[in-house]
Amino acid sequence: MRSHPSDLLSGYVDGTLSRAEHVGIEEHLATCIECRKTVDEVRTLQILLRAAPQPTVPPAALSRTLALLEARRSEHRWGVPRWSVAAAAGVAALIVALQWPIDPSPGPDSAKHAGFQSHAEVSLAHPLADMALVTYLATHLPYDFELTSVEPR
Amino acid sequence: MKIAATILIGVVAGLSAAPAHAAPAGNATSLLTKAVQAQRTIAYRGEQVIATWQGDSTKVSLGRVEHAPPDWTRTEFSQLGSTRRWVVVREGGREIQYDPASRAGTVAPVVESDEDSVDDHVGWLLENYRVASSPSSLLGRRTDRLAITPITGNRSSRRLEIDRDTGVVLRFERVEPTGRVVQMVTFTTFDVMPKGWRAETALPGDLRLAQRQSVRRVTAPEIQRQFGGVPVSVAPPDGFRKTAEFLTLGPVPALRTMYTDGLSVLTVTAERGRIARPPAASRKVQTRTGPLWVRRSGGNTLVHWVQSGWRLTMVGDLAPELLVQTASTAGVARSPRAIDHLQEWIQTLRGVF
Repeated sequence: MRSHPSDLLSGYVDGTLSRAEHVGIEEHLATCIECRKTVDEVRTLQILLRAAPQPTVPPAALSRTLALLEARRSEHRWGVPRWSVAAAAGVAALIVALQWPIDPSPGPDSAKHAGFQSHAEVSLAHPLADMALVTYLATHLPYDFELTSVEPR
Repeated sequence: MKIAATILIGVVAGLSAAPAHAAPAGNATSLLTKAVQAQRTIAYRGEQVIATWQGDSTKVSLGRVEHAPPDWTRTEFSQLGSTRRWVVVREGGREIQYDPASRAGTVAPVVESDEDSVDDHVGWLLENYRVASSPSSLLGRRTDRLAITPITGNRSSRRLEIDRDTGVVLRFERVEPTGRVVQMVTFTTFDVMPKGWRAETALPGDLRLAQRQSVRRVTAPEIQRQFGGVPVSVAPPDGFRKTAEFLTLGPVPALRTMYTDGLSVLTVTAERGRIARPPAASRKVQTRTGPLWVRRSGGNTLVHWVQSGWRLTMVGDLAPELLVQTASTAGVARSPRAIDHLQEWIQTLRGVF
């Protein structure tokens, strides 16, 4: 082998190579100081890992992790920003408010042209109105004496 | 007002004591027709007292009337307790109202009466009213006292004193079904004048007159064209029939329908709108479906309400209960919602800009 078989050295140490690969690596190591050095480092690392204490996992860790994952997933599916919740509530309140019944209040300008005076004017078309022309005049003028305006109705 | 009350009580007492007999239909017709024709033929002048019950008080006005046939009349009013005066001149198919102090006023065409249908109206009147007449006198003149009482209840009665020589109505009273006199107009002086006595009369040259909205008769196709539909209809009280429709053009076009029982007039004004505009001093009456507003004045009742996108105002000298019932025949819309007010406001803005 001319180039360094770096990707096979870890398998060589673990003993997972084929027979042909194993023989090839041994032949290479016989002539390559650099790869022998790498093999030595891998073996040292394995020894250290075997000597390290094994970590213990709490029994509830799995269920907690699964619950956390589920919560994250739910939040991702249904969760909306708080401002949009407030906005939605505001829109809902506005819709309800717009449906609220509000009766108008009587006002001096309201129905002015449809009131007593216009009734008196139209009543003139009654053919007997002339019989009591004075009545017509008396009927509508004193009514709105204070309200009578010089402005056009 | 004590003065008015005294006058009214005196008039009622005087008339109650007067003997009367049912006038034959022909006599009643001729008396009423004569009164109508008097305005076309008799020149006169006089002073009047006009007392009108306003529901919670009585207003009394003094009127100075000058009339020259066929169609010139000048009346100057001054109200007791007020410094204001008000002049109304009718001439040549127009009516001018002005304040003689400020010289400001308004002018508008007069709605002409349909003289051809006098007999029809007298016929309807005799269907709905009993007419009794008796000889009398007033201001030293011989008169025919005419009492017109409704056959059905809930209508006002009229009492008239018709001058026998001229046919001019010298005194007029309107009496509610309760017996309460709600209006009285009576001459305190009356003089027959020569024809043409006011032919040279001219209006003051410095009047400032604004044009009022004119009222004219209208046809069904024009109603459709103007409003894009026909207003909701009202079923009038028994004995009333529709006789004319009028159009008022202005910022808010209005259709006015006139009903009569031969004597009383009921008008219904309809204009487009979803929000009621109740008049001042009106009171709200809540019906099963929605609100309407009622106001009384001078023996007349006004009812205002909204239905199907129409703003309706009905006025007549009928009892409030009867007019509310009549309004209900057209339906009464529920109270407007805030969004309806908003829409109306936006439409108003559109109109402004």
